[in-house]
Amino acid sequence: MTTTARIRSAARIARATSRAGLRERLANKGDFVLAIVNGVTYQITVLLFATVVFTRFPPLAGWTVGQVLLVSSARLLAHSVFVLGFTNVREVPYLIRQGRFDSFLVRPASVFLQVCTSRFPLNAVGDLTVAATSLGVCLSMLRLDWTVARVCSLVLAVASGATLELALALCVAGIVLRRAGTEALFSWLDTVIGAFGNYPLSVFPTVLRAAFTFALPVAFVAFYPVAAVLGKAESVPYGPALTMVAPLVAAVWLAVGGWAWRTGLRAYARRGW
Amino acid sequence: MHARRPPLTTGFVIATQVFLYAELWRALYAHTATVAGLDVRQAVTYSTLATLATTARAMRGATGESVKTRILDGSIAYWFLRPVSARRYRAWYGVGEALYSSAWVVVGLALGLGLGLVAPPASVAVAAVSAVSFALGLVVLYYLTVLIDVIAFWTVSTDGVTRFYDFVQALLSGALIPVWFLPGWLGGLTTRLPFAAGVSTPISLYAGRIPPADALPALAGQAGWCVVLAMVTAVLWRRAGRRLVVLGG
Repeated sequence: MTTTARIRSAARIARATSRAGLRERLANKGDFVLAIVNGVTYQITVLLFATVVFTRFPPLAGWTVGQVLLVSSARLLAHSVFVLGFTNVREVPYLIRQGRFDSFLVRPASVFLQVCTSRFPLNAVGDLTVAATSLGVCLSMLRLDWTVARVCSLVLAVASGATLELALALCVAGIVLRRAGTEALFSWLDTVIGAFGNYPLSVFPTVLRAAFTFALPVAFVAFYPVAAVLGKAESVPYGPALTMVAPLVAAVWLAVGGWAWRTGLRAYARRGW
Repeated sequence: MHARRPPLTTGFVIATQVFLYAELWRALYAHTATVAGLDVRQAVTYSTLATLATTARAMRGATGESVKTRILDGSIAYWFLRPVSARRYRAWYGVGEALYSSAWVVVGLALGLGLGLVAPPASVAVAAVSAVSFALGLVVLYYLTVLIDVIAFWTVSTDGVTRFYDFVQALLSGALIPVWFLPGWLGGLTTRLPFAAGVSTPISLYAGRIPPADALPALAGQAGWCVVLAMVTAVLWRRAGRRLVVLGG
């Protein structure tokens, strides 16, 4: 099969399973509504945390509320894109427990594709609503001149952020596939990015700045690229060059995530949990 | 294999979260001495204890031994076939959960005191009162989780309900943000709901944000929630057995 044919067949499978998945989610009306509401509520906790920080504590390291809100909004958008396409990577432990994951291994389609389409990502509707609202509020506060270059760099920032989230989720999935009982790392990842990816890196002490730049790439999910969008590249820790490299960082981490996922799958197929 | 891994992951998750939040609060307090009645030492103590009290608990739920999975695979039927009633089985299970999360709190508290993350209690009386309050908080949290479990008998798919509960619990119990920092109306709401009685009250007593003089009303409030929640869950349990739909088989 040629690459084009493979992609076309994958798209067909994804469409069919997504349609079936949506019907499945509609079967339980109460759960359907709650799933959408939950997307909203989860992001509200994150925004509320940010609100508390803004209102109770003095301005953040020379950033205005509008500017910080653009960091948060870009992160929320990136997260929504991740949820829309790939949130089910975080459901791997449940899929394994239900026995569904083992059936994915023997079917003639990519396991990753089957995982991603295993459940319709309803929460994404809520996530996207909050992200769009937050971005709207923030843009009305900022009054930036939206040149083509600026719009492109924001789009690229969101795309890199979503890719980074996927890459990190795949790394965790790789660990989970090898070792049962490690699934809490998924919510850990969510908490760390959610609580620390929304602010200018400059507010954190040195050890966290270094950790979120060089170890766990939390600052590349939104902070560094958004600093470039805002024309604040000169003020970021470790130099302005870092505001341009988010897509590169995302690509490298995606390669690492892909490797973790593939080796995890092999280990799982050999001996399970 | 299944049983051996969680402690390692739990330890890692708790330690990193405690550290990250402590650093965050310290950074935020860099230019202020006191915010909403909490100074930096109290805020770090509060955040550390809140993480200890809630994370191990939440992670236990995430490892699959939940009503969610039991209803989905049908094994919930065994709860009603045993010589022990489902309600009593869940209660003993709750005792285990409470002991497990308390063990993490005790170890974490000892380490936190040693590392200077947690300030020691102001007096022996404060220590005693917060220990009693912590125990009452465990009872409140037990009833709240049972409530969610029992609701699953009606909704079948509990994903939505559980996640919604996690949100409300994280927000209104003071687990994520000390309730003292919340905007006025939301802070007011927390005093009318049971969630803060589970987490915020014991920690606020320990950190000295609730003065010892106000300890008695605080404990009475917690005890009141225990009674109300016990009555509500008792009614729901009676109806749940009749409602149960067993899937799979």
